[in-house]
Amino acid sequence: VSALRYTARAVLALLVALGAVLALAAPAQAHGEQTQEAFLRASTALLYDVKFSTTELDVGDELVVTGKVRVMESWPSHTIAAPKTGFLSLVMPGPVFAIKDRQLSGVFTPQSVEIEKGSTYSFSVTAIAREPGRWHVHPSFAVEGTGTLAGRGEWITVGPGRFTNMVRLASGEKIDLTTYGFGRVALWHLIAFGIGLAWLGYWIAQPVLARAAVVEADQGSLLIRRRDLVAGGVAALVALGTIGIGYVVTNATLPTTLMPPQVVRLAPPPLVEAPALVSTSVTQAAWRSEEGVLELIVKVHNTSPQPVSLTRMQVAEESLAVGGPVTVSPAVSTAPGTTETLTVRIDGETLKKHNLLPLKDPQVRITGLLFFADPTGKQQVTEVNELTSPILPQ
Amino acid sequence: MSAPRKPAVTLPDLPRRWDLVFLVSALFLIMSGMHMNSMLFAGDWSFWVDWKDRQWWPLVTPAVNIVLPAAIQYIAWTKLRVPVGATVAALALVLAQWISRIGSFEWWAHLPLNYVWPETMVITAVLMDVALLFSRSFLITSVVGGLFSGGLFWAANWPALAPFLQPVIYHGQVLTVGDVISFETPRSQGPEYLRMIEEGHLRALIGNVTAIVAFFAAMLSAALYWFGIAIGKFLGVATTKALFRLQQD
Repeated sequence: VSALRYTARAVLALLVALGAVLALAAPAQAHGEQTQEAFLRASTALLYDVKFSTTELDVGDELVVTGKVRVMESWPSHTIAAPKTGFLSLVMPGPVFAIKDRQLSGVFTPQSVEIEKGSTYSFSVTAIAREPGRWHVHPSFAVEGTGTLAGRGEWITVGPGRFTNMVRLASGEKIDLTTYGFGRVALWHLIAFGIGLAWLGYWIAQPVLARAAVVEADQGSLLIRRRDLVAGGVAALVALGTIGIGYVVTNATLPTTLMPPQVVRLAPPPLVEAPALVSTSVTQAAWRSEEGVLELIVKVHNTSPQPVSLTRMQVAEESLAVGGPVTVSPAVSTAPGTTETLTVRIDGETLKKHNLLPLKDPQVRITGLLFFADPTGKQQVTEVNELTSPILPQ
Repeated sequence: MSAPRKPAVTLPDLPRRWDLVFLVSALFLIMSGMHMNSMLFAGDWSFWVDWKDRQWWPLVTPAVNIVLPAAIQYIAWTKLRVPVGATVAALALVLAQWISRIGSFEWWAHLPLNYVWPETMVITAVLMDVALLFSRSFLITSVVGGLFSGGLFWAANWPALAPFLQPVIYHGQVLTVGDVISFETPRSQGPEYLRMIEEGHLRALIGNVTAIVAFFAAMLSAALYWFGIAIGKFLGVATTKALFRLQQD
């Protein structure tokens, strides 16, 4: 009785503990993308101009995520293998969306792609909502040897609805991709499990542990009887017969010739750069510790017939607008054909908040993109890749 | 002439409830050991339908999954003289895998079951146990059992896999059903290029890759069987022998 009581208490305590853990656990917020090192997020692949077609939809509705991905010139090839293979996807809490189309530079990319350092690709991912809920979704670009980099994320609210996922086989048959083939898997597993269970059942129907004493007395060979051998023969025949019949029936009942999984490696063309509006060079990058500001001295030469201005900067997945965390002086446009030296100051607190200050990195380097635009809306992106003056751990 | 129901030798009168306690405890232990081993060494080949190729899946999976069944077979045979070790291990593995695939993959992470179903090694495990029953030799069982386990792995899983190897014309590209499921159901932090599957290289006998791989899988399984025997002998039987000694009153 007391043993039972102790067991009941232990089970009760475990249930209470489990309940407490489940009740107190907070839902995960976002994907921890900002915990990755600043240099990795800022100098490898950058996703920018990220747009979500909607933030509220129902199950079965379509979400389109678009933007651009740039494989940075500043890629640290001395520490990470040079970028060759990339993979565009969505990062989300499990496949709560089903991806239906995925394009880089207008090319459908079923799998990973070949990429080039210094190239920019436009991307578009079309997905259908599968699960209702509120989901944090990012576009992501993974590079072989480096890992997955996430672009700007968005909370997407998905209401109830109906998700169907019909696909047409090459044979013409229409199938539901969510469940297709599972019936055969389940049936085959049940058959195999049944054979194994029957074989096991035959042996454990007899005493099991008691045999140990006989084996210990060196009489183990007497434990195997003729009927055991007969049972073994039957089991072997059933097993081999099942494999043979399964193979033949499978081939006879599938409508098409089968093929191995495919490895499709396409090389989408990089975006063709429009005629340059400006040429830039960063002549100095310095951390002003007393003001908590990162200062860049940028020489801008306007090669276009229109005046151009710096509109924003992007570091990793964070877009920093001029007039917001970024200030520019002189706050004037660069006239056509002239060269202007701009002092670009980036708020250190903002960088720190997003884990973008290279405080404990082995290279105190600032990398990112500068966005220039002219009055007609033309945009040009230039890259910043500069060692800065010391930024000491705070 | 009907065969006797009881063994020819007299067994000690041990209540069957101890068998139940032993078998249930062993089942959970073997389930966790087999599942951990499979996740560590077969991993993605077992998890995802688009990893189940002709080259690596039928080579790696049976080979890494023969080790613990061999150990359990050794223990069950040398201590209890029951040829069920491999079958128990294969049943325990597939049971643990289905619990994981339904609970963790499908229910928890929204991954459809036709994407994450596991392979089965139960049928070939029965053949391995029968090989031991007839031969009473671990050497012969390693060769014949390895042949069954590795060599027949592809055939013994073909009925489950085949539907996913049907071609689909998808956005103008040809993919298999498995590839399309993978395309539509992304693995967060698991880019497609991580797949270690047959990609096509210069090699002889290219049209017979399945048969060649089956042959190598059989050899590898036969070799790794002995790793399992060593585990069973030195970590299983030898250690328990030092601690327990059975005797009849």
